[in-house]
Amino acid sequence: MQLSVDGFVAGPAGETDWQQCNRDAALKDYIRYLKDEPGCEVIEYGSSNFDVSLIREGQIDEYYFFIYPTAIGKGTAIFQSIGSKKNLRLVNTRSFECGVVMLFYKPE
Amino acid sequence: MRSKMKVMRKVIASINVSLDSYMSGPNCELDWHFERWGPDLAQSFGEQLSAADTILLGRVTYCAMARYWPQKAQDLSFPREDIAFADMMNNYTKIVFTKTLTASAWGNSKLVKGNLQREICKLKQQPGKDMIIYGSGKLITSMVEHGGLIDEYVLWVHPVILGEGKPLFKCLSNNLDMKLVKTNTFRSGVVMLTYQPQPAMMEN
Repeated sequence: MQLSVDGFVAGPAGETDWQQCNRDAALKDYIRYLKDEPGCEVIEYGSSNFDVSLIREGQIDEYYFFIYPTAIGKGTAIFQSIGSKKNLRLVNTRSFECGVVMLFYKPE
Repeated sequence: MRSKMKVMRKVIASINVSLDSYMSGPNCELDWHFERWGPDLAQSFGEQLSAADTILLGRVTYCAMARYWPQKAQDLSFPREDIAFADMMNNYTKIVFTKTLTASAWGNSKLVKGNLQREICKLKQQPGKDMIIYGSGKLITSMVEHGGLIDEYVLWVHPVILGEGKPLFKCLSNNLDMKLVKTNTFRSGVVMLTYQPQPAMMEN
């Protein structure tokens, strides 16, 4: 999940231009490595997919949040239909040159 | 002729947030923050506050804190490192930006009604340590919209998705691009992210 620092996956009209880290090879490689990992189904939540029913039902094993160093103020807040509060356990973090921070969580 | 660069005081916004960027639950609930408190967080918060000498607040956060901190300083069951923090909270000058409050509810407080930009610039030019903003979502959003008033954002990201609550920024006219300066991780899973705003592009 690629999030602005204020928790949006896209702007109000679906804008994702702020998700700009095109020159950060390490970030691109890392995202590709996550997506290509054999034996697991990777679901990308973003401007075109914000069905959080699997999250709500506790079907997700791992969460990777990529926090971009930009606040956009308004947009798609995909966790609005999450139902009750969800506690997670931080497993690892990683920072990238372009200022993106990766936060890796598992459900508690 | 030598000119001396005057180092201006910084304004630091220090904000507890959920993973989905809420500063509190819809009714100002902060249980998700208190549940994850610990000595390592207390130390980091204490270090941050001791580098400042003034706290800037909006009315809602000010009133909530005024009900909480004075009694904490007297609470014998409060952990020692937290008592030191409570003392700073109570002894520091609080500057409250409010158009409606007429009397201060807390010691060492000053109520300010005037132009926000002018007041902040005046404060920055006065001698003193840095100024810290806690909570105060509306005040922070106003300061972001004015541009250049906040020098650093410290977000304490808690490992919880709330789903609803009071958002970090209430709507911005422009994106706020920032530079990641520092990160730190705490035992309870809280991650501290420190950002500085990118300088605005100069337009001809």
